[in-house]
Amino acid sequence: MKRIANILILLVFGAVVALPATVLAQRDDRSDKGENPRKAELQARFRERDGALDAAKRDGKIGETTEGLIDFVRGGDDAKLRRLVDDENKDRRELYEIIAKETGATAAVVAEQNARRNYQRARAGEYLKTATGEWKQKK
Amino acid sequence: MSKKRPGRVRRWIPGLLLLSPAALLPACARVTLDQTKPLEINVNVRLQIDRELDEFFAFQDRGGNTTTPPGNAATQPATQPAAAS
Repeated sequence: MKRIANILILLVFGAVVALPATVLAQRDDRSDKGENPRKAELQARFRERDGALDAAKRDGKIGETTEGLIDFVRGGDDAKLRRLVDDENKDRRELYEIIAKETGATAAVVAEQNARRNYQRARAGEYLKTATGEWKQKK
Repeated sequence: MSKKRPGRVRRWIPGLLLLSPAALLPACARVTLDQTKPLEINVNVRLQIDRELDEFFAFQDRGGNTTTPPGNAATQPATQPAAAS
């Protein structure tokens, strides 16, 4: 009887010590998966540039690349558009890093996935850059 | 008989204190496994990335040609998926 009581005490003690450790570990997991507040800031910036960049795409001045970025097809001397493109690419790189951390992938894989997505979503007539650096118009 | 019990329980206390680090080990082992596990890029990860991108860029409504098959060479990136590092 005493032995059983001692075993029970041991089990209860073990549970009391182990439970907080497990909860802490789970809390760490959750914080890893938590939404990054920086994403909301980035999204606002993307949204702000979206109209101007979309218009430039339709005009054939810029297009999507296989690296998940945008580049000039022509019109690279337009300072205002260049600034927009530079800001867009900078923010995209940061977004790829954030999503890579969230998903356990690499930023290169995220960028490539976004390139595929952008190529599929592009409208007919928009320019898309191939891996060899050649611009092709989507049919 | 009943007076001996507290003494017996007290004798267990050093043993219990020694065992407590062992009870913490499972939690530590789990974290270590997550961090050292080789990165495995699989279909699930790619789907998760797609979902993240779709959610993030949900404000964009391009009305693009979504019927284009993914295999169309003219509209697909020519690079292959990066190998898992």
